Amino acid sequence: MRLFKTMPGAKSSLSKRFAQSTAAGALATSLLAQAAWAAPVIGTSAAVRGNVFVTTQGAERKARVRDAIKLEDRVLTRDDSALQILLLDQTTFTVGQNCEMTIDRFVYDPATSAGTVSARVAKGAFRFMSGRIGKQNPTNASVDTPAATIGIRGTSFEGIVGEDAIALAGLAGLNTAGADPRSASIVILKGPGSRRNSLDNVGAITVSNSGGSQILTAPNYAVFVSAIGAAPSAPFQMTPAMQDYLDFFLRSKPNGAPVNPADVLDSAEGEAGQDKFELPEIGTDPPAEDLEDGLQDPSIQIFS
Amino acid sequence: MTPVIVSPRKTNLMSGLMKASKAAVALSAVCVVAFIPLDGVRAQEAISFQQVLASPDDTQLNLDYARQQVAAGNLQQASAALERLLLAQPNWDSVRLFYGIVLYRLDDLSGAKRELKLLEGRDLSPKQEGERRKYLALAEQASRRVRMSARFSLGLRTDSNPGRLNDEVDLFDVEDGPDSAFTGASQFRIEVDFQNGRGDFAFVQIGGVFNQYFEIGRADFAHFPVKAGVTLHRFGGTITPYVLASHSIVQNEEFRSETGGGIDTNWSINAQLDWFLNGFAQYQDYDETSFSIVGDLRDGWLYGGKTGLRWRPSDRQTFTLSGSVRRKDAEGDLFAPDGFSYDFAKIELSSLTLLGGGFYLNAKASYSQTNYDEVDFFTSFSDIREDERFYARVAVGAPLSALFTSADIELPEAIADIVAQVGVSYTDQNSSISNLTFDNWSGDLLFTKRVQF
Repeated sequence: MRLFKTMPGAKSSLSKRFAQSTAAGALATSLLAQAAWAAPVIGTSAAVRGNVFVTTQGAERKARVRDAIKLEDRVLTRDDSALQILLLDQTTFTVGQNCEMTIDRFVYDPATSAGTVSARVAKGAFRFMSGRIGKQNPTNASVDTPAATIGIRGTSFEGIVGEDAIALAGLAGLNTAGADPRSASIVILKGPGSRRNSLDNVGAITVSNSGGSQILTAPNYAVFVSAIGAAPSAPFQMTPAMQDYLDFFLRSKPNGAPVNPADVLDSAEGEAGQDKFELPEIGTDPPAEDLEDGLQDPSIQIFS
Repeated sequence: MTPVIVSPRKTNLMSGLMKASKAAVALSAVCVVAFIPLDGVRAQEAISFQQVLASPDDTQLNLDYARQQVAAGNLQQASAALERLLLAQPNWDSVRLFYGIVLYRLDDLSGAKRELKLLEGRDLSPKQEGERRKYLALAEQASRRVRMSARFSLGLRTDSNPGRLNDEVDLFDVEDGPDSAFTGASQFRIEVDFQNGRGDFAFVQIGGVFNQYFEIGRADFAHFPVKAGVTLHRFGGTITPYVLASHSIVQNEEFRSETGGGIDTNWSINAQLDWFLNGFAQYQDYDETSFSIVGDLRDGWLYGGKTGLRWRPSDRQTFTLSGSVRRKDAEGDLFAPDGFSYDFAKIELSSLTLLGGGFYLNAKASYSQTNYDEVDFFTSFSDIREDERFYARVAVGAPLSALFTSADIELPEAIADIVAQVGVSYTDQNSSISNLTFDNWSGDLLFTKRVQF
């Protein structure tokens, strides 16, 4: 079963290509177009900062917001650049500067949320947040780095591949001798954690390769894989310095005067719903059922 | 010792039909209240993910989508939308504060601290700055290796039949009739994180529960449990082995001490379904009291298990269906070695609904049977005690801040987060020993304050 949902506009883009083709190259163009058509649209560029390039079947273009993302598109970001990709199943990929990433498998049935999603990150920093596929089919969502495969169970996590992964491991005090600057990878679980204020399931990731595997279920813990085939390290806690290092690639920070382009409440607590999230406290419901034997004794003893 | 009045159990057709209809009504109520419309969210025009896909750079659309996802309890989607807004508008401080608190709710504490610290020194309103400081402090607390928390609950309850008496049995000089009571519960808990990347931790908790009636003293009790254990995340689930001890006081007299242990496990089958399996064993040591000569005849091991499924059809709703069994092996005496030994079985359906606006609704209904092994001569010379019980409860709660929002009153921080809960319970027990057949309506109002250190 391979079910793809096509983005609006994909056909018109295809027609345009046909119209622009010359007679001499019609056959080749047609074949190329058919091949392009075979690569279905699987998402969209939701936010773009700086210089981001997307390569579809050898043709590179500069990414713009609302561009369609197709299966096997290669995403490449330059310095001080970032891209957020939304996939049809609500999976969200954010890639930071100098990242190379390809979504190489996407099968999705919107009716049942069944499907498979997998991606390859060759270098750079990225963040992944599960969509419907990852939540509904925990074993069917994965991200490959050169050194490890990350199995995803309804969660968000971050990773970094390459020299920066080795630098981060050094900040954590890990032994980086023999680490491969092309394949070394660090993966960090972000949540939801066990002390979440929601009904979400706790997220988990499995980092594995031929050398072994490690499971992360606590947010802000990471695993380092130094090279292809090297065993994943024991989980370690990210320090603020390490997180700052990673945030530089993945997260925005204020750089000017405050703006408020749309109406946001003065109370962010109210916007975030934290002040309105309550669960009943366990152990306060009266009475203690286990004491009933004693509470009912007088009904008998009264006749003694 | 005078025997009590014994009557055959109501096992005739009429009784069975009545009980079945009561159960059906209660279970229907559980299901109906669980699906009552949620606040505002459904009233607004819903933004579909397709709209977001088509216009991911529409600021207002994405902001509204984030709010909608928060209201629906889907915080991960909300965080993605806010992150998108911040990529495009990094100086949108109020959205960054919003984002930071959403990350706090997701237990992404380092992410939350990062966003909240970035706002330090920015031009926030006094209210926003207060919230920034508050959630930064909360995130710092929750990040500690050693975490301490406490809760205190205090309230009132009123019962139609606090003494659990059978109205059809004429008893002399018995405190009878409706009564009200002070009720309360508290707990202090310490957790120590193993810092192994799995979220494993050890815990110790000490608690107390009490019930003190205004007039009828026979149902007064206090219970003091202590529990220690570790929670491990293994094999795709959580495993919590523990030891416990407790002491109970009934009618201001020492009644029972318990020591034992158990193991609780929880396994995620998929995103919507969890399976849990618990087991325990504890030794119960009873004291003789002025109102009961049974005393240490009840001493012995109580062990049992519980299993069930927890289904989460949406981010604001869970249903739990469970079944539990227990076996009590009491020491008894020469005349009735198994008179206080019994088998217990229970089935329970519960529902938790987040109604929105801070309100939750908790409903449950259960049916249980307790079958004693033989006559105990305390309750009857000829009939073995067999009880069946139907129990239903509905409770609604909300923080005081939510209750006062409609009146446009802003409460001080110290009391705004106190949770008020109103509950109604009904118990109907049918026993082969007619004195132990009773029903009771109960209403309670409880105020709970939680504190983190």
